[in-house]
Amino acid sequence: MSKATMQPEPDSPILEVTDLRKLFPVKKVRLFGAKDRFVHAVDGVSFQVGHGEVLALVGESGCGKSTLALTLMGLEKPTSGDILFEGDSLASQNSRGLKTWRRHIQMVFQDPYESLNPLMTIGDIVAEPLVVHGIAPNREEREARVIRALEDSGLKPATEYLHRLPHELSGGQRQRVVIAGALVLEPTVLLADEPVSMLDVSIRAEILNLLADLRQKRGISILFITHDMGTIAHFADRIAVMYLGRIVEIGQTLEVLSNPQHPYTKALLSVVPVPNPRLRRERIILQGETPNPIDLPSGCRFHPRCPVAFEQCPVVDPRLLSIGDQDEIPHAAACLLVNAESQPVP
Amino acid sequence: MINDTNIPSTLMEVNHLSIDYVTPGRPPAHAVEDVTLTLREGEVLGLVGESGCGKTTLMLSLMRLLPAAGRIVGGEVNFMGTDLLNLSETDIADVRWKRISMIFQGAMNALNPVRTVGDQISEAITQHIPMNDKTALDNRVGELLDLVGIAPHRKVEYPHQYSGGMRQRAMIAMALACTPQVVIADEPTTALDVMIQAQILELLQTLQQKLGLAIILVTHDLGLVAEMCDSVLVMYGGVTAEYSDVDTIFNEPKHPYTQELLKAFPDLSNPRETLASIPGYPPRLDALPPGCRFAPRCPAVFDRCHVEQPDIHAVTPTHYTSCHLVENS
Ligand SMILES: Nc1ncnc2c1ncn2[C@@H]1O[C@H](COP(=O)(O)OP(=O)(O)OP(=O)(O)O)[C@@H](O)[C@H]1O
Ligand SMILES: Nc1ncnc2c1ncn2[C@@H]1O[C@H](COP(=O)(O)OP(=O)(O)OP(=O)(O)O)[C@@H](O)[C@H]1O
Ligand SMILES: [Mg+2]
Ligand SMILES: [Mg+2]
Repeated sequence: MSKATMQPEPDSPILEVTDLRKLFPVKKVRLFGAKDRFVHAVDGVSFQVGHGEVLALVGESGCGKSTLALTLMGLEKPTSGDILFEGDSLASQNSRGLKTWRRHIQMVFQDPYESLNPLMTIGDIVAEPLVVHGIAPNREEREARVIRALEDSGLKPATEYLHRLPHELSGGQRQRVVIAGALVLEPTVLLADEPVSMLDVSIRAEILNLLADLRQKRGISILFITHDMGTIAHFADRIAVMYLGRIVEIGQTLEVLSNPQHPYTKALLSVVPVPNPRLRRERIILQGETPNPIDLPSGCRFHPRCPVAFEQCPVVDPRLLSIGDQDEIPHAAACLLVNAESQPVP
Repeated sequence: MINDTNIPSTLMEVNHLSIDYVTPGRPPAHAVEDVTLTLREGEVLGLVGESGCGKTTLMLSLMRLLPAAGRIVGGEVNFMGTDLLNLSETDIADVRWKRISMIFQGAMNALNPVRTVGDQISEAITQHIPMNDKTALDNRVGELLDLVGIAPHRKVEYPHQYSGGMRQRAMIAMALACTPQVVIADEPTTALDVMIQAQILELLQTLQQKLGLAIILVTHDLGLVAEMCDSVLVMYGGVTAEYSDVDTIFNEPKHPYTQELLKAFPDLSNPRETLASIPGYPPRLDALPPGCRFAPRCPAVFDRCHVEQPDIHAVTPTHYTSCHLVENS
């Protein structure tokens, strides 16, 4: 994990997210005096991504990971809060600005089997973003860029793949095509939404190594979204743990893995199967499922499932506060047991 | 494969089982070849291997539920003294679901959307065990739901009112409906979130202990195998690569495929810089390489591997592997 120490918090982040909220209105049932209700998909999230940094975003299904990514890409409009890309604010972009924004921030979507048009050749699929953005209008130049993107994604020689159709490729190869489609615009930030969950173990390692490589070679920043802590330890610089629309813990990867502070992080870590039968551990299995983000629990939103909750937890909403010395990369958690200095709910 | 002074008795022995898929006008696909395994009472056996290596095919054959194109071309499945492959359709019906049952891959998405979960569980019972007493049947459905951690009053709900984890619990309840001794769980947690996955695994473990079940856990997740299983069979391209107790497989693997698979699996207890990926792809089962099926991808390959298929060798009486290197040493 030397990369993390090689690249301390850079001076100016490439992405800066401040108090971001994305609420979806719930379909109204027409009743007298019924209040508007909202799904709190992303509910007050702040973090930064450094140049060339890999930040992993981890959390259970429905905690708001994809919504956060879509908002970062400018595909969902934030309800409040702002996102700065290289110091530029998303809120101040007009439609042309937004288009440029999406060229710099690209997303690899969740499912490699559904995100490729089965009727288009690999070459056309990868060239499509160039056409949409009106980049490299001349044919040779376009093909050169497609070939570079395919080869950077590990599909070598690219000419072997250009004329094939998606169904002629394996799952791992298809996922590489999806990545090539994101790389062809030469983005500086890649949002990878569960890029390996659908893949076989041996292919998974291949794609993870590819992403690590891209960061190294192209200096791309990556937001790596997953529900599986196991897949990220190897190449993320930092981990942000999300629960019900909030970041509940964030810090350097090895620090979070070896010294988790939030009870939710501890539970998530404890259930990652370790491939060593001599290390069978006590698992902290949280019962039930994530509560629905329409009616959020009072106080700390994790308290109904928290194994160590105490009487203050249902009344005080803990803020994300730093732990310990702050001379290095901050490690922060939102838990009253970690940090008593928090705000009571008004 | 359990090292115990009073070894539990053997429930099932699969001997040299081979299965082809035949499609007219095409060469047969040798989906399973010469697989041998033993399952004891209360044992949890892990079946691992890459997508398409024949795991589901092998399991379906144990239930005699192969699709029409599937042909058992050799071997036997000895279950408590009878060869299941020789039973008539009527006789196999006394074994299927009642003694050996299966949670199918992806089945939680195959629940009938227009019938209540309770009705579907009732049917899983009455299809195999006639039950005229409505109250007794209702009680049994409630009991099964309770067993898998679902409040019995939710039996009147429809599948869409259940979360993914609850639907998988309902599938487990159905598999348990006729009190089997062996449950085959084909990728029971693959589509689920880590925490829900942990809940389901804990449930399977509890059931295994409470009911003394033997479980065959089919998965491509080595972590699950390490956490759950007593013994492991690693399949590659339709054949047994390696078969032993869980500790041996993880700590003294002899087959290069097992070794590579372990290196490719992320391990939180030991984070390294890069994971080793296994270059190349599994063989096509209708166009197998002449020698060892793993030879084209094997880091330890030598001449003989390309021309001669390795037999299964016993490294110890409880450790088998099919690799020329092992025979040589
Ligand atoms: N367009 C939408 N309209 C209404 N609710 C939405 C919308 N998109 C997402 N949600 C809700 O917002 C919450 C967060 O969803 P999101 O897809 O961001 O979660 P996720 O963390 O990506 O989950 P998963 O791991 O399952 O992909 C969920 O409760 C979801 O149902
Ligand atoms: N009905 C069928 N007809 C012909 N070939 C089939 C049929 N079903 C499966 N096969 C082939 O047999 C091989 C083994 O398939 P099987 O479903 O047993 O693999 P698996 O190990 O369970 O894979 P996965 O992990 O993806 O579930 C595959 O190559 C598959 O394409
Ligand atoms: Mg998502
Ligand atoms: Mg299968």
